[in-house]
Amino acid sequence: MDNKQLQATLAKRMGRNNADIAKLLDALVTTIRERCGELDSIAVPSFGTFEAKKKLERIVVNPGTGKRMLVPPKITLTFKPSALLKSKLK
Amino acid sequence: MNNKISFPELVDSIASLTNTSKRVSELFLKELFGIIKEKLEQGESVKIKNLGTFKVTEISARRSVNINTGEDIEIAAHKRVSFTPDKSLAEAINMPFEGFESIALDDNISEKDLETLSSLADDNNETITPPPFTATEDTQEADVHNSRISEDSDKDIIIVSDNSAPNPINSQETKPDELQTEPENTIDNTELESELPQENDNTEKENDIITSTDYPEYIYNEEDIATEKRISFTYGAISGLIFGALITLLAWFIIFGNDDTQINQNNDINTSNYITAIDTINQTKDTTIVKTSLPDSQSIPAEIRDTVRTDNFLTKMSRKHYGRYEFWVYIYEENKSKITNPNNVPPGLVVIIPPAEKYGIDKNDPNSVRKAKEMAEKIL
Repeated sequence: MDNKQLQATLAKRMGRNNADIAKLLDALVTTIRERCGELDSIAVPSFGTFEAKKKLERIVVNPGTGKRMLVPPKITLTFKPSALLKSKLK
Repeated sequence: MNNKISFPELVDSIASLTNTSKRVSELFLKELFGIIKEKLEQGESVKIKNLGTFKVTEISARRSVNINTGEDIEIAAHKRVSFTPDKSLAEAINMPFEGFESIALDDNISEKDLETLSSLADDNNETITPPPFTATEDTQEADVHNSRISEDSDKDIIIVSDNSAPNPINSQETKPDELQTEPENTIDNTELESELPQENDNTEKENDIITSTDYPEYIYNEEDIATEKRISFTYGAISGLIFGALITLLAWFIIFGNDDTQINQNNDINTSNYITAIDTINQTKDTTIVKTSLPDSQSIPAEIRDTVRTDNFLTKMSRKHYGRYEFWVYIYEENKSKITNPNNVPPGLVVIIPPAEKYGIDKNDPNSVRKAKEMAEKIL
């Protein structure tokens, strides 16, 4: 389901127009970006948790060339599905 | 930082951002995640613009081992939910490390260098999912790295403020040597690429990636960590010094306490090699001290008695009273009437300890010692 379809479905279910849905989605993205940017985690019940994880730098070896590279540290946005979601999918 | 945002908080945030009521915002979120769930159950992936993609992957069954019993087990086929953040979002979250790039390593930097780390662990040390290339470090190093990162940043701050020379104070860590960045500590791509990590003492050139103070934790509490570290370091240093001083004092007493001819029973007892608690008490009771303690190698005017015990031999008494065990011969001489066999002195025997002057006992005089030794040979 791509974005357009999603927005359409949401609009229908909520009885709102697409513009509103777009705004709400935007707000959601902004919230996640801001909060996880501060390394907070966002928990959505029965769904999962959005978490920002720090990944440390490490040395990797290109098996082809045998060259060693130093990968810099980074922060990654991850999602941890909740137990309920996982069980539903089984 | 490291806060858990609850659902109501999320609702509030969206409501305020969109100027809608909380009810609407809550409904929206519930619907949204409901749809995503439905689609995922149907095996369909959901893509949200600027957010990312939720995807379901089928994991086929595989054989494995029950870790407890060791017997073979089959992990059933199942589905796994995964989320891939949208590029813009991922970049936004990685903002502190923006502009960092992978660099090729010379052979000089080894994992050992990255491991050398003295201080505290930090929060959130992750296992790293391996990329296409083999990661040659393990998670333990990750912990160490994270700590090192904090340590580095701390050093950064110290160095910048001190304007000190290339080699900082802490020589234990190899990495801090490299932290001679500009005061701003801005990450400069070209600089990074041109300055490949080399020998550790080549401080100026080792502008490693970690030179940045832009690590997330440091954006938020650089100075806190710095001051904290400084304080902890001071405490550690002080306690170490005190401990070392105590050890020195103790050793000094043990080594040099024997030479002390003071009639301070407790001291002497403690400096002896075969102390028992009971012995200590007995000693203080048995030996009568007529005069108070005197400095080294001075005469003991009044008579002193001591009791022979299985662990209080003539030699021990000699050491105690005269400062050297060789002078037991004089104790023997003094008590010849009581002691028939110097090798076998009956325990419980009260012997008189003659004053040092009587026999010219001087622990510091080698002649005196030699004479005592000769006497010992004669006796034995």
